[in-house]
Amino acid sequence: MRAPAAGAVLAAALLLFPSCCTPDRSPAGVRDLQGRPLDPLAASDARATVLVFADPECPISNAFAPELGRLHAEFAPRGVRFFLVYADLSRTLEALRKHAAAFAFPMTAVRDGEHELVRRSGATLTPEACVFLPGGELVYRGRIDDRYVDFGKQRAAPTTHDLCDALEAVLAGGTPARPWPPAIGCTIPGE
Amino acid sequence: MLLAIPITLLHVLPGDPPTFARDIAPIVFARCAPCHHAGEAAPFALVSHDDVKKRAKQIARVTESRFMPPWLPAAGENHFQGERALAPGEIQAFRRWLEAGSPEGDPAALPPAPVFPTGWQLGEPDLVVTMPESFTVPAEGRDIYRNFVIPQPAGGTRYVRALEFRPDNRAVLHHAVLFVDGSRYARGEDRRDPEPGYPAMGLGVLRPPNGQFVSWTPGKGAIRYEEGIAWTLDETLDVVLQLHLRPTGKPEPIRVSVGLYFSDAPPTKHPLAIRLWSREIDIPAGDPAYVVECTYTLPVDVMVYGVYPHAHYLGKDLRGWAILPDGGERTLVHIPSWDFNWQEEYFYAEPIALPTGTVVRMRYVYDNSADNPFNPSNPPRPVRHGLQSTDEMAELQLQVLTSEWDRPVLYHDFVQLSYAVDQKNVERGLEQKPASLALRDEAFKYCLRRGDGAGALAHARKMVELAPGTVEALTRLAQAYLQLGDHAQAITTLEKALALEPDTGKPLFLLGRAQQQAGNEAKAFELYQQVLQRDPKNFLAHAAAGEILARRGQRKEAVQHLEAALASNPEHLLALWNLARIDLDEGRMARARERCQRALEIAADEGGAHFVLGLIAEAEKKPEEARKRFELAVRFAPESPEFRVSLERARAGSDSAQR
Repeated sequence: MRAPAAGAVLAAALLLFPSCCTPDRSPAGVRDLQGRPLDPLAASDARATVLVFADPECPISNAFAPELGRLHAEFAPRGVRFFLVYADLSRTLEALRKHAAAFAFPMTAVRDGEHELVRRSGATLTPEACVFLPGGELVYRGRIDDRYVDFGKQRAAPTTHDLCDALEAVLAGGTPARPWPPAIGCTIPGE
Repeated sequence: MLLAIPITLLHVLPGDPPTFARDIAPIVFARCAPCHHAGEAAPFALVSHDDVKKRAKQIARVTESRFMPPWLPAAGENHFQGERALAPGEIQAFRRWLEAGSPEGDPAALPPAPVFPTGWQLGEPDLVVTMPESFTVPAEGRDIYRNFVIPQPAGGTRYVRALEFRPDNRAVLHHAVLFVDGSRYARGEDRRDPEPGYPAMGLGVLRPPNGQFVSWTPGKGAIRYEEGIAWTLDETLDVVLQLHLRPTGKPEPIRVSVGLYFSDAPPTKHPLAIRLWSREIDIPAGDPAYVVECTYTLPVDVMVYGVYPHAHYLGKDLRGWAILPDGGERTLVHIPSWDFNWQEEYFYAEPIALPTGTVVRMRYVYDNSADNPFNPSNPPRPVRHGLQSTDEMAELQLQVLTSEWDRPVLYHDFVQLSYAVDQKNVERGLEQKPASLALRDEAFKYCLRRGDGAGALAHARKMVELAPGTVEALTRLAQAYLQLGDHAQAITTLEKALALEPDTGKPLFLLGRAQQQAGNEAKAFELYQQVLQRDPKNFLAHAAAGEILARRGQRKEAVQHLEAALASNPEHLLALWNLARIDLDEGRMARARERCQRALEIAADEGGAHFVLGLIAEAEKKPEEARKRFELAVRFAPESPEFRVSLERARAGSDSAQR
């Protein structure tokens, strides 16, 4: 029993302290939180792709975690792919993995190492939701709903469900109405 | 407009762009970092150049909109302690720094970074009290306002000279207020709610300790009181923490501790929290500018040193001011853009002296339209006064100091005013529903509290009319007769009630009161014993029986009853001052004085406590002080023959001394 136990301890130590043994270099480009390259906008059979920009230190994008969970549960089975996009370059993958787990984000999270997704979507804030058609065309960039009216000004409950409406429009074969309602949130660091 | 441009440019384009080290760091260290550092409540650190550069655009925006740093009062004639508002030049510096590319500048110019202590700021506290269990804030939903009750460990009476709040999870705690409660009301509410604590948005029956606002907001360190303004923490008091909790997106457990530092010396100064308030709030749905106004004329000179405006989510523009006897006006506080979530108390940099006769006014404007994003109802609904988040409130609390002799007068005056406000509200309700027994009963109780026997009798008669032949209505009628001194009618009425239900405690107790008023003390005592046989914990009967025994000189038995009364209700005033009187009779002067002070902390206009303090002054050969105490006792309890006799004695004494 001694040897396996020692092995388990070593494995646990590696899990607990990955940075001491396998340092997180800042990987270039878009990577998943295991550090593997991943392009959320690459061709796929999804009917639409949603990028939601998030920042672990932004209280507004954190507060939307339960709502994003509900939207994911509603639309993922209907062929919509969701990605959470972390664009704060000062965060290690380890810190981002912890954050995604703590807030129970159900979708794949990526780190936008060179702000490539920021540029392709034109996002400036967290949480800003961007909806792309399978061909890569951006058809919505704006708020998830209107619960925030301004910094510190929050409604008791949202009165609009803008991302939900946008996805329904896309799934019905149309495009979301313009103008896109702007998001309220934290400026993406470095933008 | 053309003229304005060059002036603006002068400010925006001086020769030298700001640098972090020289221009930005001093502002950030003083105004942002106290909340924005690791382990504090604010969402991210703003200490290093990297921290601040990363958020430069956001900082420029939120400082320009004045969302940050959070500070609600408008700049005006008053300055408050710990003002967080930025000067216009400081706001411009952030914008110019952003536009210049957020340069670091010469690191040699950087002021020393602020140091934030991690342990207790004033060393190990004398006592740490902690919420009995953690409360878990759900991942999302509305802000939560909840009271948590912390019973005290035994340790007698302690005087708090300093304290520090220590939340174990600062991410969810927006602010905290500390109250004390000796009535066990909060414990009852806590028991009724299955989760730890119970929901609450305002004071209710809780008291700020020694008339002081005690609160925590992010970045606030230990609180130290000026010499003489400690507050009393008797072991019978529960500490009640009111927490404003804000969901973060994931479930967050929180438990708050308070470190207390004690002084040996009891307080010598007793502040008072007085409040202007209205219950006449009836805001139509959609009304964007509903006005509530209140006025209070000060009966004594006061020194105002703190102010706490309070409204809920519909409050928009809150203003409090004073009209001095010479006609001059003085703003006390003006909040042009109210935000319930950032409510706090404000302490003046220089206290404001307001003389007798000053009229304090408040004018609050409410927005119940759909355009108010804080509106808890969508679409808007009519909103009235109440304690729930969907109700509204209109309160302006002032923390004041007065002379020792003026304090009870001021207290009595504003308590009476509060009763009048409540009574008016109930009577408005009665106009709508004249047949409501519950409202009638409320109105009756306010008449009784205000000593209005005739008013009480009118309401009681109406109750008998509405509910003839009920014990409740007959009991109220008897209470009204008692208030009017008509003990014969009271006795007849109570006997009728007891004939209906012989075993009811309340008419039996009141019959005792009536017999006492009629001079039949022995009969009264017997009736109190009968009440106690049915209900051994009845504190009213214990206190009344104790009072009779004390007068008979049976001190030992008296103490047993009086202490039994306090065991059921630690704030029972009659029991407190009667025990003080026995202490005095048995030579325990300090203990007697302490009990009286305790009673006066609960209610500064408790006539019995002033009476015993008068007796103490007589014993100490301080005739002037004794006379003043007896005057207060008679002023607040004119019905007591004993108090009147003492005052006449004291007056005769000082007359003969003058002759």
